[in-house]
Amino acid sequence: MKKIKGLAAMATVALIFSSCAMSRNAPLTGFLYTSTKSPMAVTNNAGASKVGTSEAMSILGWVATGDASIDAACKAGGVTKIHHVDEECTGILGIIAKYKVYVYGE
Amino acid sequence: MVNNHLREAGEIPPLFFVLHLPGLLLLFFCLNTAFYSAQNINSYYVSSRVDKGSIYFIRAQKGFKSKPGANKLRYDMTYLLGKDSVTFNFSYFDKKPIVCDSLVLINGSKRLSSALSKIFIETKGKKWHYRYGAKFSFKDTQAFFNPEQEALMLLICKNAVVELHCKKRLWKKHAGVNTRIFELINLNR
Repeated sequence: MKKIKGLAAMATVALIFSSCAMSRNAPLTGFLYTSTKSPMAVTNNAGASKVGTSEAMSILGWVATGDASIDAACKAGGVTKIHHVDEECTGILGIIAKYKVYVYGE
Repeated sequence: MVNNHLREAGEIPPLFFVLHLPGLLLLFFCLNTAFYSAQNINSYYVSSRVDKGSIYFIRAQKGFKSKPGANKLRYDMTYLLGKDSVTFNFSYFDKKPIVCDSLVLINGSKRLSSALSKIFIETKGKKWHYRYGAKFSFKDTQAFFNPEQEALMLLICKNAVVELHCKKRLWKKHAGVNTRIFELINLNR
């Protein structure tokens, strides 16, 4: 009986985490929790007084929606000249993962 | 036989932990966030070093809704260290096509007003997505985020005024967080 329970538990874990919600762009990923920021792009343009963001989200690795493009971030912040771009990845237990792009510029 | 039953009755099946562990951890994270959100402001803003100094970006905050219709407004704020004004960008979702002129922020006797600059207008599902930007002075913006008094936003449009309210508890939380971020900015000035 115990063996069956153990096998069932292992099968459940394998099934649950076979397609976790994780961002492939994260430089580091934590199995339980992820919250990382990393660089994406830098330009020669001087100065930044505006910030725009865009994001996409995944649930259980089954459903993923959103527009995390640089274009969407520029639009949201009214940025026309990009200074630099950062990205941020967050995830909890492979259940929810978020990918956010920050564009800094003029 | 009796002993076996007693032993089994006292045991918690391993499957229980496996199935409930993700839920328990998620609950822990949620409670942790809820209890310490007033103290921990790190997840509410980002700052970056640029040529002219540091730039602070207060992430988008939700909560303001129009009284009839429950149309939502979410706003974010950008402040470049050394400047006098805060850029207050917001997204407003409404089924009606409207043209907005200005935004008024009211908190108690404090009343701030700014003309709006259009960033874009798009559609999101059945609603219109209006994205506008306003500018307020740093001092006035700081004063607006007073958690002790209820806040109100008025979106002045052609032929209409949209009244936007925020739930008391949520406003207290957001205003507390923003006050702390402004304190941090003041210390870095």
